[in-house]
Amino acid sequence: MPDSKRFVHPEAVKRIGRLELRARHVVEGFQSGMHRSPYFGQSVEFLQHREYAPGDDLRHVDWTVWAKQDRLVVKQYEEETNLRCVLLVDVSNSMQYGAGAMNKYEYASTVAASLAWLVLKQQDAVGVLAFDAKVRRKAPVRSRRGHLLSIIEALDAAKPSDKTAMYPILREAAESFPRRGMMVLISDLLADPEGTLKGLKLLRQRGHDVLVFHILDDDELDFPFSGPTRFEGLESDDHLNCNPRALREGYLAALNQFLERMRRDCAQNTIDYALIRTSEPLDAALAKFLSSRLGMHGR
Amino acid sequence: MLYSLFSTPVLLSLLGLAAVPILIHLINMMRHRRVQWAAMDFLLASYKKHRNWIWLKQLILMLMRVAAILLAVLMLAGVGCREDQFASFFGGRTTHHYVLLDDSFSMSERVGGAFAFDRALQVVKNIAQHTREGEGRQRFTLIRFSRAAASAAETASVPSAAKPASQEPGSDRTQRPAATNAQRANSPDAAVVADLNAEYVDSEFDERLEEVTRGLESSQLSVGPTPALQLVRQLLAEKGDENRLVYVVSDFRTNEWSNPTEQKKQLQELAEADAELHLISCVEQEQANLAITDLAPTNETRAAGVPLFVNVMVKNFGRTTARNVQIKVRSTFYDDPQGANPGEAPKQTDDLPPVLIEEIAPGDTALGRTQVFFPKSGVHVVEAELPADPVVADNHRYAVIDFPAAETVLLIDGDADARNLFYLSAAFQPGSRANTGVVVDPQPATFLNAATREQLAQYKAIFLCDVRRFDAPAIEALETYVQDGGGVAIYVGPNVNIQAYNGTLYRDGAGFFPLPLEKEGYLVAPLEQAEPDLQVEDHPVFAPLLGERNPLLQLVNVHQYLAAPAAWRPDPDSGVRVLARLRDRAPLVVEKSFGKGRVMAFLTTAAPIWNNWATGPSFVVVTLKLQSHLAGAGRDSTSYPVGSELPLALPAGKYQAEVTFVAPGANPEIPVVFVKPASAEKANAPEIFTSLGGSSLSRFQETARSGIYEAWPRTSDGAPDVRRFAVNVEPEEGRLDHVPPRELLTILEPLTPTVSDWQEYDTRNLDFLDLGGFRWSRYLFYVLIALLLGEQVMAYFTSYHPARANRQSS
Repeated sequence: MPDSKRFVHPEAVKRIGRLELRARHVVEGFQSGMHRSPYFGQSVEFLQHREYAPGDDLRHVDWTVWAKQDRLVVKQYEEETNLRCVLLVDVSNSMQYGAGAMNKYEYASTVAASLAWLVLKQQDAVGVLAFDAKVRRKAPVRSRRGHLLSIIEALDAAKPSDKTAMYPILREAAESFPRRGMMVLISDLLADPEGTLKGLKLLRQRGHDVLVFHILDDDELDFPFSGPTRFEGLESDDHLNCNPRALREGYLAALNQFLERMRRDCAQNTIDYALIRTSEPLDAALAKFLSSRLGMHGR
Repeated sequence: MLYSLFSTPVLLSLLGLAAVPILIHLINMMRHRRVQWAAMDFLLASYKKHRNWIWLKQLILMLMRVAAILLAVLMLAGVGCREDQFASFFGGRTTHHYVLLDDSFSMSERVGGAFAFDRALQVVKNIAQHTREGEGRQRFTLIRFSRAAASAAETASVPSAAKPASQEPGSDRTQRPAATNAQRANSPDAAVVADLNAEYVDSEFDERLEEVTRGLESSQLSVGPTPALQLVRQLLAEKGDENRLVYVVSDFRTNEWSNPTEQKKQLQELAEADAELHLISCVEQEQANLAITDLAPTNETRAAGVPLFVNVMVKNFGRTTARNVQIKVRSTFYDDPQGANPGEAPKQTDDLPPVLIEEIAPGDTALGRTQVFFPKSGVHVVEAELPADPVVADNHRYAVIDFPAAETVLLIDGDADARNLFYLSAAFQPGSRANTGVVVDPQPATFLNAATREQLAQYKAIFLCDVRRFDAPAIEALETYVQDGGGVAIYVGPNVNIQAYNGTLYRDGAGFFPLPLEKEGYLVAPLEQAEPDLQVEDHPVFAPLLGERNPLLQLVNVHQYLAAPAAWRPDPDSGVRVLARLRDRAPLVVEKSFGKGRVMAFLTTAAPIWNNWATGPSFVVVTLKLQSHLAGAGRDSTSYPVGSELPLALPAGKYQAEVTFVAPGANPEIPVVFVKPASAEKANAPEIFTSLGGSSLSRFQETARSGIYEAWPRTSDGAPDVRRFAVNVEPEEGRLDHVPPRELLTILEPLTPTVSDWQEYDTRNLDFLDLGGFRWSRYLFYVLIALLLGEQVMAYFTSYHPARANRQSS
């Protein structure tokens, strides 16, 4: 039985409870909901008129137009459907780094659990896929409330191991979830950036609304090390004996270049990108991100 | 340079601190922290990109730290103020102060409650204090005149490099590093001679100077500035590039500086060696001073129980007449020292009636006379003392007088009836109640053939009367005796073989007989006794008979004698002098100095054979004076100058090989005791030698005080045989007139030294001294500061400094 409180912090979810995870793009659901559907149906949102065709439901004939223009047109409405959200959580070795209260894996899992809670609360469906070089754990997309435990269990069982292979995983996700929905990638993205971006583009091409939560530790962002240090790769056999003070400038330059590229390419592909420090309070980070999405959605 | 710098273990260990940054680096390399790191790609990219620059920065940082530590250690080690080469590198020069301190006894002049020497010491301290306050590195050398003079004398007296000077006992400088013999033979070792040798003026210098000057007082030596100037000249030649100031702190007495040819030459050489000359006078106005220049017994027979006159000579060095000068005279009679410890011989000191000299004109020397009497034989002492005046040292004078039980005279008479012996013996022993102190030892002529040197040495004089001829051993013994200081009187007579005398005794002037003989001469009695037969010169032997009122010599008639060739004249350089002539101008009494002794030839008989002299009263007087005169040449010198060597020769085998000397101390109640070994110069030599004091830097101090010195040799059976020496100051040093500064400048032209009064050498007034120098230690300090700042900057740029504000904003 998984510890439900390990990844779901009551205080955090309480703070984000009033927010919504809204799909910025059209998603395909099974039932009516708060998200736009590619299918036309009864809805309060008028979309367009169409010439009447035999077989159309007469209830949808716009009699006002017939009275004025003497032609039969049918009113079409935008259908609202439920959201199918898939949380792609990186559980590779690199995610186990963390000098603060939580390592990146724990933080990512908490983000995933909180989002799952939020999605389920909206009566949308959510699933999870924990991966490193392979898919380690998987929870199907469901909308029932009790599904949260399944998600937490999947996250909990997927201990960090192996290195990240981003593109194969994203491609597999695209194929596993053919219906357009929301793909939330929670990772440190410390993998081949070309593969990562290629995978993200693939998801977008498949019509998914893609969100990227880029989780990095303070140490990785600030590189505050001093004194002689031996750095040993978490996902490789590389190691380096150095005085980190001397390498910091070059390290930060390379890191920022990487972050900038991620940010820019995500923006170009209409992918929401959020860089989150593990030291940042989870609720604050999520609230900030979700609020900004709502704002964009409103426009 | 660096060898001397880091010769101490402390500095070496401090130098090891320079390795600390390297060690820390190596330790850190071994003790690094392990971090499991995710973003290795960025780290490796940074490392690949900056590897060379990082290494360079790290290397520079480490080198800066090493350099900073090295620099700090160097400064701590005093490199900042000790190494001339460093200073030269930075363009600066050391300023070296050579202070020559006059410590002759004229500097003991008391002026206004203080001694001139104390003023001189204050001047030295003021110079030192001023130099310490000055910029740049300062060295300080202090040389006393006395030590420089002793060193110069030692150098002059030790031509060979074989003399083990460093092994001399009693050396007060044994802690100093001993110079090599070769160095000492060629030039004085400044480290040994100088009280302070090129000492750096630093925070500890005052303490060292105080240590050196504490208890320092003027000596009783009479030494001029020349040896000290010569020493400084040599030091300047040895030293490298430096700013030189030479100070002569003296009293500039007239006897040394009124015509200072040698001093001027030395100062000229110093000036040519780029030395800045400063002459500082420590006296102001001239004071009157009286000095006892001599205290000596008259040249009379000295024997126990025989009164003896002692002459006291007092000189007035002042510019006004001294009146009613009262001289205290003390005699000290020493009893048998058997059983006494050295310096504790039983003695009795008596104050004799003072000698009063009514008047001594400026520059004149007056004679006072007193009579001493010692009932027993021995080596006794007479001391004279003047009333207190500005200079104390020359107010005392000492004399040691050897009073034997009697003076023995060897008398050999060739007359068959021994008539000469009779009359001479009668002259020496005129009556049972009259003690002349002379004992006659009559011997046959053959006695001389077998007489040894030691046998003859016990005779104060030898009288040879009418001896026909002398065999070769006798002649050799007699010549040796005279050369050693003995006195021989030769009376001729009818038995004398003229050819033998000429061939063996005269030997064309090479022998000890004063003149050649030619034939017997006859003096015809004049018809009128207008002119005496005997005409004498002014000589101690005839001194009592001189004077027109004294008719005694007129009673002497000589009718026969041995005549010298008519053409014979004494060579002025031969030491031959005619003391008495006959009426016909023929020489009658001729004296010759031979070696240390003297020979008097009387060309007539002693007995009234060829004359009537022995029948008159003048014969006794002349005979006694003759004995005193002849014996006087062999009497030991009783006075030694301060600082000289007191020699002692002892028969080998009869004395122990260790002699204790007792010297007067600063406190009269506490004598200073030296124990000296006595040894022979060669194996199986007849005598062993030892001495106290001498022309050696380490030994001159042993006799640097006037007074009575005692040597306590002990015979093989342990009995003491005390010898005494009178050591007196050089009286001319008591001349207190000095050369005024302006006059001194004129005398020393074209030299242009600064001539100052001691009062001008107040520390507040010494700004005129060119301390020059270059305090390059300050620049070292600046470099150190720059290095430390650079290290901080470099460390800052090679380290990470988190900025909170930036983090919060991000």
